[in-house]
This record gives sequence, structure tokens and C-alpha cells, in this order.
Amino acid sequence: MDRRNFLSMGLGSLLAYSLMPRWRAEAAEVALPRAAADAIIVLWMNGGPSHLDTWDPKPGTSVGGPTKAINTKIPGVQISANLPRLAEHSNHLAILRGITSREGNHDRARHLVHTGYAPTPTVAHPSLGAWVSEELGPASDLPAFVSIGGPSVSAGVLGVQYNPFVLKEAGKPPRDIKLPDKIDTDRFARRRSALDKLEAAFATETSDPKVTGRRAVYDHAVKLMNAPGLHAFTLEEEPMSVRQAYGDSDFGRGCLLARRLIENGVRVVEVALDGWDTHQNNFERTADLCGKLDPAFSALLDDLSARKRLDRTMVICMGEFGRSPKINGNDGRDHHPGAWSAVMAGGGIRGGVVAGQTDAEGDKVLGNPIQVQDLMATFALQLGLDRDHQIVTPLGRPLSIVDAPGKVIRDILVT
Amino acid sequence: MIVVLAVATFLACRTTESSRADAQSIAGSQSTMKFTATAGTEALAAKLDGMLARLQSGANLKPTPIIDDATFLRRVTLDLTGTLPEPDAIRAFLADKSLDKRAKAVDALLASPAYAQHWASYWGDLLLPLRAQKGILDRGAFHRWLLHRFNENAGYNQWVFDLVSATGQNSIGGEDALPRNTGDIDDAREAEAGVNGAVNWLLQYREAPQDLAGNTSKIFLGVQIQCAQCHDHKTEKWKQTDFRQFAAAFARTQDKPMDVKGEMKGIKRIEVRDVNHLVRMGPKAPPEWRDIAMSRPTALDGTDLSGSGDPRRALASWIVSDKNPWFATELVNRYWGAMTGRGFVDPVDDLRPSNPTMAPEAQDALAQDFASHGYDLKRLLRTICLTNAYQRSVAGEQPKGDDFWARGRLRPLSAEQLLNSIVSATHLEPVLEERAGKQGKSVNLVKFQLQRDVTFLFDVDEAGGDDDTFTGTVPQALMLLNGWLVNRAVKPVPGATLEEALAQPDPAARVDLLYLRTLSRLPTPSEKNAWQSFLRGDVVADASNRVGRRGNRDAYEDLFWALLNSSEFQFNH
Repeated sequence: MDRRNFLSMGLGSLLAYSLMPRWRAEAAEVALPRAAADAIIVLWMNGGPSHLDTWDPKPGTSVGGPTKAINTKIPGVQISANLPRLAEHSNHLAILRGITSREGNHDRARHLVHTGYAPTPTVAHPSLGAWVSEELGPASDLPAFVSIGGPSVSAGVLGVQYNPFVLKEAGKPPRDIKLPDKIDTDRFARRRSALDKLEAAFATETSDPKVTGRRAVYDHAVKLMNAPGLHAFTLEEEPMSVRQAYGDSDFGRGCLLARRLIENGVRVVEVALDGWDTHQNNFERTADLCGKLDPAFSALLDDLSARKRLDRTMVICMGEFGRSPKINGNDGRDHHPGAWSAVMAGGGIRGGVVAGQTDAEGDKVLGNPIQVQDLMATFALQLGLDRDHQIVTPLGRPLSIVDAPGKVIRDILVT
Repeated sequence: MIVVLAVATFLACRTTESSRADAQSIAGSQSTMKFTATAGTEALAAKLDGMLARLQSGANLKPTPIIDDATFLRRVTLDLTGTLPEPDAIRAFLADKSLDKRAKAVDALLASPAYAQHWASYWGDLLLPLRAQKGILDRGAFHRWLLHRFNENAGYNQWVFDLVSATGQNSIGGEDALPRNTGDIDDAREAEAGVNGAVNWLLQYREAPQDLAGNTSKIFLGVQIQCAQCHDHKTEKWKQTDFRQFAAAFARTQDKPMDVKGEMKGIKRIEVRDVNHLVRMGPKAPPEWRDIAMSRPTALDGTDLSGSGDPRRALASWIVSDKNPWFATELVNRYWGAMTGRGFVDPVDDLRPSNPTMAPEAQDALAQDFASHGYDLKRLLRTICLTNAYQRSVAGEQPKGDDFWARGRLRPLSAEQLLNSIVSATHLEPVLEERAGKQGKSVNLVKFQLQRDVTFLFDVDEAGGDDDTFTGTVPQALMLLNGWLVNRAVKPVPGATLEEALAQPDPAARVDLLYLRTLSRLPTPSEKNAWQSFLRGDVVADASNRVGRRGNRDAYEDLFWALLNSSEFQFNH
């Protein structure tokens, strides 16, 4: 048995044990799939992508603009012609077209979609990645939660130890991970021996757990410096053909890195693609961004699938809101939280389905809308997180990963 | 921690004297420099200690000893000015035989420009946190506004009134006002443009005016009225109506863009003013805002604020009035918490009845003195510094349960304190110049980037509150272990600390200097012995050619590195 199989087996049994209560609660409601994922990749479309020019096109209408639609593998379902490769991969995709929210400001909406809660001054809600870090922990010496190309959202009241490990861009090792110039391992060991002397004396003098806590953080840092999986951060090991498939963009490299990190024990990777705030020149800019998203997302699905990792890795592509059907005077679209789209794949999500629909103009959701807390409920279930697990905020209020009314989106789960 | 506020602090440290003179001449037109009445602070400190002693003996706690002089000077310098004492100041303090030297040291620190820089940063972090939106917020202008208040020692009631009722323009606008450039803006230029930096605090809530009400109540009154924003509070007396009536005081405050959209690069200019009609009431107004705006503006004790026609000004008056039961109580709690590591009430901004104070008598006595002496923050800090409770050692067994300040608390340095301390310990200036030259940047830009990086990594106390755990992060540790800041700063660059240390006549004097610069104390005899072999061993290990000397320098560098990475350096203790 190689190391990775060993790890994943250990993890599986751990999950089965810790999640018994939650499963029982859900089982009482209705029998649910158990294709629990052990990792999640969030493709974060920063700025709020136009649903009308990506997953929910309205060709031939006054609101559709010049964006064309193409067929997918799902009978009767079309997506934007900006996403030809993803149309080919639609057998893997669950397209959520009926999402609605009330936050139309970037910061507030970003908080909502990352945490499942609208921002309030009373509590700093933890992001999804932080909850996963807290409940599942890392599966190796690498951090549990890595954010590439964007700040993501912090762990809030869970505590900074669950914050995302932030990489400005993919392809370079993490900051300060290597010893500085002219400091070799012997010299570093000597320095640490001096530090250990100081720390031991101070810990004895104060007998304060904060000192031992700080030493533990330093030990973690040194462990990461020497982690066997550290090579995952560099992309040169990948064949050129693979790197090319993801596209020559920071986002493409971020997606490839996400796959490498997941394979090396990271639980949550968020990869940001910025620029979707298309108040001006929406159609050209959206097409350009889709040109980065389309190959990267497709290659990620192929890669995960070929490596038999897709059914345990959930991929979600979303931004903070949609964009207005009305095309403004600058050929742009403005913020539109009332109706928008996201796409999920892998990790026990059924491919080739569409959930929810918007009206003829993509303005309002028809039928039962999907709320952000429903997305969180679905992530939590598939990742095997206990939605009844509560923490108490500094002001004494209970808080859990899914806001109480959140309902699992059952139609998109593998049965 | 606010990047830009702290940057302004950092950038300003070289020109403090001149900027202070400017500050006073401008402030002089509005108010005069306030002198602190120190009479009675010693007696009050003793009274507080008596009250706490009763609580401690009631809980069978034996207080830890009072800290020695060097530890005191380090603790109080970090707390009052956000940086470390200089070696000369430490030696002079240790040699001083006068009985009131601790009080004198406190007074000197409170009178220093660094006091205003540090507390302006503290309040800046609290009032304009980093997550607040960019583009319209001029953090530099806000910091300068605060800095003037602390330089002139404005009464807390005065500046809070000015802040809550602030009107005017946010910024000179444009790219000059961008964070990285704000080091060069002078006060005259802002005064001429009619900038009132305080309005940036109001502007951060432009998208969510209800949060302005919630944070006003939380920060200045310790009342978490925003808990009643969505529904009546379950366990406290606050109803949703209370929240809405409180928030209604802000419903006539308008922010009016001064620049044509898209024309102004950098910071956009906005004027904040109050009008005689309700604002944000258009067809897109959320129902919640309508409910707030239509409520009658009312203070938390039921005082009607609608009479004067300017409810925000009426609210500001009510907040700072002597009749307000929360204002002084909250502030002394906040400052007691900032100085000792735990407020009388914890968290410091949550004064609800079901979260009672641990020392009601002491909190009341302090609040009364504060309110009856012009809300003088320096007087309050002086009193706190003179208590035994402030001067207790962190050493000894951890008690189970509440300790009633029978013991000092280890407190991790804030991002601002940490960077200031590294700068102070290493004499960073030559290193920064070297780096600026290599990268072809200005020294100011290098400082800005450094400040931003440190702040980004170390501004992480969102969770707060937890007493026993250290919640540092791996990226922080990596930066301190391997980052350029510490690793360049420990090198023998001309003008920097290691050169100064190596120039000392003998090994003992070198180690003394490194200890004074980092831990603000002299090494104990056993420490001196221990390092002797560490430093000597290095020479032998690297012996060949001139490496004998070089290896020796490396060993000092390694010791210096270890001192900077040590917990004793990175906590206030």
C-alpha cells in the first residue's frame, strides 16, 4: 500500500466515525448518497460573472446581446458559445441556474457566498474552507486550505490557524518557504538550537501555554519547509502537454496547482479568476475571461477523472452574483444578485443536470430559488461535515457551517 | 491593523518633530493642547489595587511579584508608545535611584510623539479596519486626523463627538492620496482643501448604513445593539425598535460625490453632510432601511434626538454626555483590557448585564475619575500604569479560573508593535536603503511594502478573546524564520545593530548590547555563560583563513536571529 492510499483509507474511516450523528439525522429525512468527497476546489469568479454570457444564455432576446449559445451533452440545454470545451464536458456538470441572493455589493456578497451568511458586525463568519480545515484538518504536512490568486475569506471566529494559506500566484513555492541565501541546513539547525534555548527558558519562567503554542506554530512551519509534498507547489514536473491543456494563464496554472495540492493532502483549494465586474464592455471581456476558464476547468475535470480523483473531489465554479439583463450605456452589465448561476462537478455530484431556471430575460428565478445557504448545505453534506456542529462566538451565540434554513440540493446528487 | 494608518506612522517616524509642530499649529485654531492633571492618580491606583486585592484573596490567589525595572520599562514602552526602549534609556532607568522613577517614565512616554502615533494607530485599526472598502476611503487623512487628536490630547468626549458628528470632505482626492503616496501629504494642503479626515469613518458604511449605527454603539458604548437588528434580542432587553430608533439618527446623513464619475483616479472625493430629509429612500431602498429611517431617532436610554433637526449631532452629544451610563464605563474597560490583556468585562465591547464585570468597584472608580477629569486618556493610562495590577509578573503557576489580575498576562505584539520593535532592535534604516537601491525604488515605497506585508500577515486577531492559546500562523513563522526582513536585519550592515555590537570591546559587552536591543534587559550571568560556548564554538567550527573572525561574526548573527525570533521578543510580558 503506498502512502497516499494509506492516507485516504485512514481518512475514510475517520469520516465514517465522526459523521455518524449527521448521517442519522439526514437519513431520517430521506435516504441520501454517501459519495462523500474529501476535497473541494473552488473556482472563484471574482467580480460577479454574467450568467447570461456563461451558463444561462438567452440568445435572440433583447437582453442576450451578441453572445451565442451552443448545445451541450444535456438534451435541450445550451450554454454560452464562450465555453465550447465545457459544453463537451457537460456530462460532468451540474448547472445551477436558479440561485438568488440579496447582496449586490462586492464585499458583502463575497462574504455571503464564501461563508453562507450575510455579513453582520456581530460575528466574523468563517469561510467554507476554514470550516473544512477545522473539521477535517490537513491530510498531510501541507496546509488544509490554500487560496491561489485571491485573498479568499478568513476563518473569522474559528481562529487564524484555519485561515487560508495564501499564494499570490501559482507556479512558485510559498513565500519564505526556503532558507535564505547562504544559510544552509547546518546553520539553520544551529540557529534553531539557540532559539530553543531561549524558548525553553522563557516557557519555564512563564509556564504560559501561549509560549508552547507559539513553539508549535514554529514547528509546523519547519515541518512545512521539509514536507515531502512541497514539490507539489512547483509545476515544472508536469509534462508540457498537461500544462498547455490548462491554458497559458495564471488561472490555468492555478487549476493545475489545485489538482497537485489536492493529490498531496490539501483539502480546500480556491483559485481566483478576477475581472468579471464588467460594467463596461461586458461581451468582449466576458469572452476573454471564458477563454481562460474554459480550458482550465475542462483540463481539471479531465485530469481528475483520469487520475480517478474526480468522484472524491468536488469542484464548484461561482462568483459573488450575476449580472443585469439590462445592457447599460457602456455595453456593460451591472450587478444582479436576484438571479445567477454556478456549476458543480465531481465529489458525488451528478453530472449532466440543470437545477433551477430563470425567466425569459434571466432576471428572476422561476419556481423554487436556490439560496446560498443551500449551496453550503450541499457542500457540507458531500464533504461529510456535520452541519449540527456548533461553535460559540465571542458574543455567546451558536454558529454552524450551514445557516438553519439551508437545504441540500438533492436533484444534483448521485443517487 | 490598518496598512495605511500604520504606514503613515512608519513613514512619519523620521519627521515626527516637524509634523508635530504642524499638527499643533493647525490644531491650535480649534482647541488648545490639553495638559494632564496627574494629581490623585497615585491614590486612585492604590485604591484600585485595594479593591482587586479583596477579590484576589476572596479567590485564594497569591499575586505574583511586581516586575523588575527593566521588564517594567519594556512593558510600558510597548504599551504606551508601541515600540521598545533604547539601550541608553534602559541603562539610565536602571541606574536611576529615585523612588518615583516609574511614574516619571510613564509621564515621559505619554509626552513623547510616539504616544500619539501609537494610539492613533490603535484607534485607526479599531475604527477603520482593513476590510473596509477602498477607493473612497482616505486612510492617510483619517490617520492624520486621529494623530492631531492624540497630539493635542483632546478629551475623549471631544473627539468622539467630533467624529460621530463629522461633516466635510474625505480627501484631497486623486493619486496623491493613495496609501503608498500619503507619506508626503502635509497638513496645510489638506486644511486648504477643507478636508476633514474624520468623515472617512462614516464613509466606510456607505453601502450598509445600519452597520454604522451598530459599530457606533459597540465601540463607544459597549452595547451590542446590532444584535437586535434582525429581531428582538432573546436574552437582553433590546428590541428591534431600539436598534432602529438608534440607527435613525444617521438617516439624514448624505454622502455626495464631488467628482464626475470615472474622471478622478486614485481616491474619489466625497462630501459628507446632513440634510433635512431622509436619504437613500429611492425605489431600490431595502425595506430594512425604510423601517430604520422612518423611526423616531432615539438614544438607548430613551432620550429623544429628533428635536434639534440634526439628529446625528444630537446623538453625538448624547453619546459623550455625563448622563450616558455606558460611555466612560466602556472606555475604561477597553483601556484596562488593552493594558492588562483582559478587560473588567470580556470581550471589552460587550457590556450586557448577562456578561458581568469581574471588578465592578474598580471599573466604576476608574470610570468616575475619567469622566470627572475631562475624559483625559493620558490621565487614565497613567493611573493604570501605576497600579500593581499592571505591574505584576507573568511568571508563576497558571491559576485555574479567574485570576483577578493577580498575575500579568503574556500578550502577542500587534503588527504595529512587532514591526516597530524589529525596526528599533535592528536599526533597519541602512538595510532599507540598501534594498531600495537594489530594487530601484524609493525608501518610502520599500517601507510601505514592508508595512503592508507585515500587517497582512500579522493582523489576525479577529477571533480574539481566547486567553490561553496562541493563534499565530505558519506564514507568520515562515516570514520571521526565513524572510528578508529578519535575515537582512541581523547582518552586519554598516550602521545597523550587529555592526554596533561587534564594535564592542569584548564578547560580554556584545551580548549585553544584543540583549538590550531585543529583550530590553541585560543577560543573566548564566545566560552569558551559555552563549560564551555558543559563540566560541562557532569560531572553531569554521576555522580556516580569515574565517576565524567571520565564523565568529556568523555566531553573533545567529544569536541575534534567535533573539528576534524568541517568544520573549515577540510577546509583551
